Amino acid sequence: MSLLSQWSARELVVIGIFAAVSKVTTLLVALAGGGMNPLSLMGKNLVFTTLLIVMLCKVSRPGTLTLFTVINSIVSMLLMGASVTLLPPLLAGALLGELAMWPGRNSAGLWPKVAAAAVFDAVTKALSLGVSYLLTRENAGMMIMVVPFVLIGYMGSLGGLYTGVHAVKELRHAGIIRQ
Amino acid sequence: MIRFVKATYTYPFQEKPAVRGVDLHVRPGELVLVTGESGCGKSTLLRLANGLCPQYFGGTLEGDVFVGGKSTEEMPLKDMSRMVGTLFQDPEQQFFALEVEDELAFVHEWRGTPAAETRRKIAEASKEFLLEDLLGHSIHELSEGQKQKVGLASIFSQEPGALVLDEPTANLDPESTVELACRLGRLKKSGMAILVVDHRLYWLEDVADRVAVMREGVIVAQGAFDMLHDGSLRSAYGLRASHVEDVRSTLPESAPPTKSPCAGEKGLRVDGLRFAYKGQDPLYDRASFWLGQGVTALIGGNGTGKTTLARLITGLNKAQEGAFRINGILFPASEMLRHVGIVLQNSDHQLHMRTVAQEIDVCLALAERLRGWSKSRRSREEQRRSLLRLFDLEHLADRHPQSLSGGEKQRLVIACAFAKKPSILILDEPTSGLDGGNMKRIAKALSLLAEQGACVLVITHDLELLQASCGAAIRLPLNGH
Amino acid sequence: MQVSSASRFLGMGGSVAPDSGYDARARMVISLLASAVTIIISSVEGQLVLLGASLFYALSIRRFKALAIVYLFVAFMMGLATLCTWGLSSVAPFVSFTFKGLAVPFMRGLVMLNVVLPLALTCRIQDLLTALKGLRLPFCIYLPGAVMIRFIPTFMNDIKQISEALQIRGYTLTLGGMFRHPLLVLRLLFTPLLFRSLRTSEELGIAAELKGLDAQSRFVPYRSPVWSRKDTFLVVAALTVVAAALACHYLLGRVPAAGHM
Repeated sequence: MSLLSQWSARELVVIGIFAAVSKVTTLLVALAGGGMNPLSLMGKNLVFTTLLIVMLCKVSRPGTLTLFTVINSIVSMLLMGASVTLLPPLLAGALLGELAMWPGRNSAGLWPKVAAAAVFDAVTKALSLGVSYLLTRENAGMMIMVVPFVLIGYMGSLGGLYTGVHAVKELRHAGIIRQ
Repeated sequence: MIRFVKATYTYPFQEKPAVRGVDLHVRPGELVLVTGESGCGKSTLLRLANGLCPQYFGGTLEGDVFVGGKSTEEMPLKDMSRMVGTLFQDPEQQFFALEVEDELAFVHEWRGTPAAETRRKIAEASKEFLLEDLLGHSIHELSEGQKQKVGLASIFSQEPGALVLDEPTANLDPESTVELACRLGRLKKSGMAILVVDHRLYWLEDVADRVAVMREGVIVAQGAFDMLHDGSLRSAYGLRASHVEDVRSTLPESAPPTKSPCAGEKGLRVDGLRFAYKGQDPLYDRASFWLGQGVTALIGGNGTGKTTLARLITGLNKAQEGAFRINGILFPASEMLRHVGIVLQNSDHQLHMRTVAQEIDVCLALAERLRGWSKSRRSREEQRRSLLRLFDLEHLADRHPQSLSGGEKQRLVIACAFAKKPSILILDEPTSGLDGGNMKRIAKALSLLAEQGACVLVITHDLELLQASCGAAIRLPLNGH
Repeated sequence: MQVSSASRFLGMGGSVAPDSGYDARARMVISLLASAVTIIISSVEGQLVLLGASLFYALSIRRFKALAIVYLFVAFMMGLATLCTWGLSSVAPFVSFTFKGLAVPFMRGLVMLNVVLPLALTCRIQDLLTALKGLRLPFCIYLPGAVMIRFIPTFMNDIKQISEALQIRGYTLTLGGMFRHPLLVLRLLFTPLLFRSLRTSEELGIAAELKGLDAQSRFVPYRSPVWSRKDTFLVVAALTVVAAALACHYLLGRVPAAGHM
């Protein structure tokens, strides 16, 4: 079985749906909060990480995080105009996230997925600082302003790890995700 | 074409089989209707026919299910899909494209059908289902009946030998329901084997060759449609009526007690209502109507603005002009939601808590805050119990609301609306997809609320609900339109 | 910079946007090209070429009001950033406060804005789906991508209905409430959407199986998106602008050292 044909149609649908819902919610949280206010910045990262953990529990297969990232990036880049520079940090984050999940790849447990999401968030946030440097390299003052925003966003991601665990437990209670 | 031989199926993680020892045969050119109260196993029967059970859902199948002479367990789903077409209650959830033509083409494109062949199939299907003028339309612009036609046309274009339909009339108006029955009659004549699972029965009176009634996973009665005319059988198995009278034209018009507003009148009076969607002709232009105590039906064809009217009354959509009076007192549109309860169609969007009991408790607490009531914890618990009892949800009190079946969720959101004790309650399609017993339970609850002095407005395509509970009607378009 | 097509999505169904006249893929190529080149170029001269050409491109869609609103917002953000930088430079001397140091990052943002707006405001969602199909991606990328685009309007509508349901119940969501009970607010807004998305994925997954889709599916389009001479001209023009900008950057512009801080 080739790497790209390991997913079934239903798993690909789950990845597409979660990519849509994460795009819509993060977009709306950002729009509702005016984009740059700390609460909405934290909120959109929190929601994204929560959805990421739920999706990884629903499609428990190595490569899912990378595929999700690729889909999200392609649609964001080609159809919504996101900068191509965001792709390398996201891909690096996804691949390292996969690596973090690898020891528990055969387990249906929650923690390998949480570890993957945590690594993904940490790596993408750290590397996004590098991208910001590229964009504002002519003026270091702007970079000083970028760092707090990234940190606030990362706090939201950390919160998302907690809410993600909470959401998966609730979904198990509701019988929607099976152990 | 579809044959169940002593089929017993158990879902994964379940001990009790969902379907037990079913023997049923649907031959080419035959339509079989399967009915029974919610949770009786009829949807599982349908999933066995299209191979989803056990291939998609897992679980264990004992006995056999054959389609076109081949065992469904031995055929991959991909091959099964070429033999059996499936249409669900909400066809939009099955669409992968945003335009009608693209949706019809989608499956053929991914099956590697040559482009010319795909074009021919689209042309044939759209001609058969009268969709030629809708090919370029967005699926979001279609009515429920049109969406169903697109779903059926897509299946028809794949030329399957059998068709299975899961509650196909739940979202349809009576006219679209009749049209669907005629269409199924034609497909049947063309040699297709058709298996329909539905709570509504009357629409298949002239089309169904046989009816199977299920209870707790077992077929308890099987025979010609006429057996459903037996009232004791229907009531024993929680079925809906086999024949329904259309009361839409005979219900009396809802009329105000006096021509002009007066103090002490009991009901909702709306005068000079004006509303138009941006860039469109007015939907309401200086329209007036009266909603009195009791249960009133809001009647009108597709696109006449029934849901819009409900939204205007509650202030969810802002009327450009209009005076809203409750019991003779004038209220601004922004205040209406404090006094009017509304139950919208999609119950999934209205449930937030971890348990059914919590969901009701939160609604009671919010109602207390809204009205400035102060109640003891004991009285709140008593209220919760009585609401759970009224809607037969007591045994589900500790379940997660989102894990309930569609009918149970519907009853829960109505119970939540009752918690507010509204003097005016609007319900949008409260009984779609409900079995006979639960439809009657909702009708009874609405009558009870009306007896306590509330004005209840029901938007529904359900002729049985109209007959069972409505005493008057507001007909659209309104005068002054 | 990500300028979302929120207006288009909020319009539901995507039928509100007028026909752009260009293939969506041509606009995508321009968007990609601009995002790459604008990072490479770090001189005012080179950025000016990109900015002028991209502004002309943005104005060509004749959505002056939308453009003005977005520009006003960006101007506000830039003003804010300038103020902060000035403040920082007065307390921390290593932070430079120069015209060039401020202008280049701002121009980068504007260039991206100018190329993304035409894509966001003129392409219907259906055009984007057709364009995605036209990219001939593997099944495992096309299917989730198409599902994502197909369901963005649906989820936008769901969020609207969820917030209405809260209003009907009698919840009033305030900023203070969000701080005091963040988990409750999250539960109220997010739980229905999470369950809804899981249910949708279940139903659509079943539909995919029943349509016989799998990774081995061979795709044969029944109609292909039309790439006209106009689209080729647009891409060639964009490449010419890129060449001109690079020439200006290397011939006229002084490349500031990375450590110019």
